[in-house]
Amino acid sequence: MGGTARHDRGLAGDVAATPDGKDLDHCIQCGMCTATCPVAEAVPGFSPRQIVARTILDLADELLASDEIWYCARCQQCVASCRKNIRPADIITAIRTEALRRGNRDTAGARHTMAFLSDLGGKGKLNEALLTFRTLRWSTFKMIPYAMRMLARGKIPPPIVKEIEGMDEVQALIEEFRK
Amino acid sequence: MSPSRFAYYPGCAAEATVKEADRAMRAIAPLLGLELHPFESMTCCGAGVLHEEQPDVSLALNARNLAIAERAGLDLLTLCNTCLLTMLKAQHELRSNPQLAGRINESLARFDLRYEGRVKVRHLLWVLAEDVGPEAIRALVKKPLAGLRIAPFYGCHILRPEEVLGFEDGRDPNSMERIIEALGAEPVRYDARTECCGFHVMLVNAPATTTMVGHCLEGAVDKRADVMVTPCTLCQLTLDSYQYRADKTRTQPLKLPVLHLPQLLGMAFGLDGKTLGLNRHLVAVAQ
Repeated sequence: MGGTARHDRGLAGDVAATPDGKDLDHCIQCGMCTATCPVAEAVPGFSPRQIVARTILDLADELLASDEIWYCARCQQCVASCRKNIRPADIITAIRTEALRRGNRDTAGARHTMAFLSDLGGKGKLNEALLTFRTLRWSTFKMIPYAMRMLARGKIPPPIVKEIEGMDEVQALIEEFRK
Repeated sequence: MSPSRFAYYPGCAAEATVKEADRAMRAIAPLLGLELHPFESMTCCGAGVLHEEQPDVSLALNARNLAIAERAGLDLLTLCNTCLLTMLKAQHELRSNPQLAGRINESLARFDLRYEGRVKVRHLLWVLAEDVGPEAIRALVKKPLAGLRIAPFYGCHILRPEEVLGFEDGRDPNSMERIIEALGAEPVRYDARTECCGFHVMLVNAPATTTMVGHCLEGAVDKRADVMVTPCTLCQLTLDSYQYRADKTRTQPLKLPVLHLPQLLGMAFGLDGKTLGLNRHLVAVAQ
């Protein structure tokens, strides 16, 4: 077990200790989540049931550094279809939180998520123009054909976002409630 | 019609990438008797993404936005399904964790704010279906969309989870169909109308989003839809802008224009294409 674990049961204990992951232990591995998951249909090998299984088995190192924990599209189909009402999408949210907490920050998914706190703490709003580059880094070049089409329709917003009023309040709340 | 007043929260997408949704909304609002009050002090809701890194920060910032609406005595209206779900989930969490809600309120008190849970978070679709109603919408139609076959695309975060949203049956909704009929058009029934467009992985796994977009659009095209309409700014962005990618694996291009719900209303109400931003679509809209 890694030295960063807060609970005896490793990743399973850490996830089950959060409000999002609290029902982890009720999973019976029935597979309804994967059967109804649109990403599983689009991405061969992606399986929310397996992500939950690997969490229960504490296969943390491999799972938390993977790209696939960031492939869930938050569509809530698994939340609607789960026979035990354990909200698999929320469990994946808890796994993402734990991945970041343990320092797994070098995937496109992790960078995309971290951009939100940095944008909200900066101007209070998301900077949509820069989000692609911050997520994909140099792989952004793959998005050039897309960007050209968006640009032709005036759909690349300016990279400067107007700051909201009361940014001092927002920054104070972030300092107080971040863990 | 006496105007209904709302704290207007269009969402980040409508304020930047898909501005046409915001323009169309502002154009139809006076006709519908809706008074929109934007607040320069509200932050982005964090889209459930901020929650992944910092759940308590996400909750505190949403509580602040909601408290700003409460201080003004207004309910909140959004054009984005993800904003809707994020704020409703925040309200749910604030109810179920009074201890954390209390700590957040102690902090908000320094800024003369307090979240009490009075504010109702509403989506434009809900306000249209419930407050305005199909009859009043029908009465505003100047150019009936007769003969047009329209595929409604609901988007995930206005349907699921039902325990949080609870407006209509998540598996068999009908609010969009009722509005399409009120505008004089024919709603197209197809399975993918409650499925996922793939927006939330469009950067992290673009091929997955492309497949999901293709699947959703194909379902509507197979049922001979002329146009698709969605209440969600993020779904519209995805289904319109990733359509050319989905076309690459097909012999026939899909060519299905995707409208924002306020644009469709504006067209039936006789507003011109420029006001509604119909020139800003990647898949051309016939006017």
